[in-house]
Amino acid sequence: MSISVKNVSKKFGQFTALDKVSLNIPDGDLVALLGPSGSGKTTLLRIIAGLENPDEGSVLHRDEEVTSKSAKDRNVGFVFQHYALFRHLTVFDNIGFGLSVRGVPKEKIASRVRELLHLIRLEGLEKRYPSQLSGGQRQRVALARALAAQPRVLLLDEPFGALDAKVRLELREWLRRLHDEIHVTSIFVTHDQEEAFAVADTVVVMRNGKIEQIGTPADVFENPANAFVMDFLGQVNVFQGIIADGLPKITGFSSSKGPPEKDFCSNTIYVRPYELEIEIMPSASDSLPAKVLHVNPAGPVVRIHLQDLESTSRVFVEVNFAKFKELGISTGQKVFIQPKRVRIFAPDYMI
Amino acid sequence: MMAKIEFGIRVQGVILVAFIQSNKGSPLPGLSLSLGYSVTYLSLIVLIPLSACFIKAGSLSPTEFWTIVWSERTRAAYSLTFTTAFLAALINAAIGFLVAWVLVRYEFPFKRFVDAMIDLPLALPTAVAGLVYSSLYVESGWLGQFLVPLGINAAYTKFAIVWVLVFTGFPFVVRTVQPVLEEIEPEVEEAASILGASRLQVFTRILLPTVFPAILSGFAQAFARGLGEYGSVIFVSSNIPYKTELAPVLIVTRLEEMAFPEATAIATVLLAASFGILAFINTIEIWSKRFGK
Repeated sequence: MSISVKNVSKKFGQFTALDKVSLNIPDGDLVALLGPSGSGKTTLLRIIAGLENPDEGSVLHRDEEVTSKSAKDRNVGFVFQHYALFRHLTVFDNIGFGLSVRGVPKEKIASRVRELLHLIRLEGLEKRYPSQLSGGQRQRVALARALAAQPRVLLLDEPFGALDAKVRLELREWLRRLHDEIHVTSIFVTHDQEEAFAVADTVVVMRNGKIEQIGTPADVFENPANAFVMDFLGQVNVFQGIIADGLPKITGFSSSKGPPEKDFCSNTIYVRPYELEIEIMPSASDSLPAKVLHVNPAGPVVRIHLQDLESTSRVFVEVNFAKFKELGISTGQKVFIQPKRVRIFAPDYMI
Repeated sequence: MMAKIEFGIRVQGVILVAFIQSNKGSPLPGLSLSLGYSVTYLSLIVLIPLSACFIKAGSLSPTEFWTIVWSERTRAAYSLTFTTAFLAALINAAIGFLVAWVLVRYEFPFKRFVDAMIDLPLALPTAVAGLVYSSLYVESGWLGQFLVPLGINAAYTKFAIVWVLVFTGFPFVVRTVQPVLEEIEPEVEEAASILGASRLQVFTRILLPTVFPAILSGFAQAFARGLGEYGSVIFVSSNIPYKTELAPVLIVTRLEEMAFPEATAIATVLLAASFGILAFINTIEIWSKRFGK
């Protein structure tokens, strides 16, 4: 079922959690609401669920206006970060709760619960209490409980936030596969960009109660709309640069060239760590001299910390292991760096 | 008599030593010291006085003991004691839960003041409570002048006993339920209502089962308090044998008659029965907590 949010605003006292947010989610999509804490992503999710009422604006499930409907009548599935399982009920009764309060006959509940237990791979644990399960198992029970009454939309609030790294990885892959099987429109909140990219079809990046960018993971990552998105989606090197003849020049790179002053437009240049090249000898006259501070050669990608000798600021570079071997660099060595790709944004946001 | 008590201490000492030795592998230090202290204090405060009571009662022959503890008068007293204490604890469970609910869920002026007032029945000498209650509810009292014409006689009756026991046992349920209610995450209720539960269903199927062990534990405390209550009931009850005479009052009556073995015999039965009932309530409580923390 498609979900529309139109011009929704929400304030908590003086704090503006959402500021005229509009969003359309097509049927069957798996969407990640991504943003730092305080960006309004959880509030937006809770408003879609009916747990919070917007101060203004409306929420539509398909074409039906549900803004004034209570959570109980919206038929949505909701998964909380800390599971919120009913601790006095068994796994079986937890999963069946949504059906049981609706007065579904016992045999029907039993068969549906068994189906879901199979889906979450917890067959045989239906008589356990939540306290007797691991975190990952609890979250799967919470998911099954949310899915039991066949909700029209599944909402997940930082569903993997309370789990340890390995379980988190497993569970998010499992959620992706699950979504491919059952195709229920799903929205999940996360502050972890890697998680959003790994799971979602569509990523919605939020900041300060506003949507900054909507797009596929590849689109958002490759073409960030602004400096905030660029910074939030991964590590980035910042250079104070200038634009000359429509081309960005990092101060250090271009210092020797000295074009006429009126052509300069002072700006900030953003370069991803893997879009910088390390050279033993400068390939061009504008290569930036730097000193190797630290090398972390664990894994297929070698992370190198450098110090820009012009501005003394730190630069972070990622090269693959083969390239690292070829270069044969070590701590303390003087090298040169040259960007493969740089990005420039309007100066509304400073990292 | 002294020899018997000494023997009792020695037996406890032996048990204590055996207990400490069996726990030698514990990684937590200070077990023998802390357990030693606990058992010593428990012995001085609870076990020795109680065993002295049993020993005193033991000076009676079995037939004497039986005729004393199972006479018509004592049976009437037991029955009155247990039913009034039970009813009062039941009323307290309901009212206490309600008060705890209001204190946890709502914000209102003077909330902290009301919260502090809950414990007053524990601080007030119960005799004062008994006197105040009886003077309020007699026919000429402030409340009695309206209630007695309506047929509600809340002084010197069984009703009066239950009423004053509700007062003395009031804090227990509130104080056991309050922290458990505070602990329930709002998310759990949100989860239930998102799953389609009505407010009533959230209450009966989620909240009540969660706080039930705490209510039961408060109930047991209020009940135990009611069983042993003397100070207040002596004033509100007319203390008529077979009718409104409670077991603790009967014990004191026997003591005043210098009939110490009789008094301890009745006390022994009261004690054993109380212990049995409390053990039973605790068992239900453990069962109702089977889902763990």
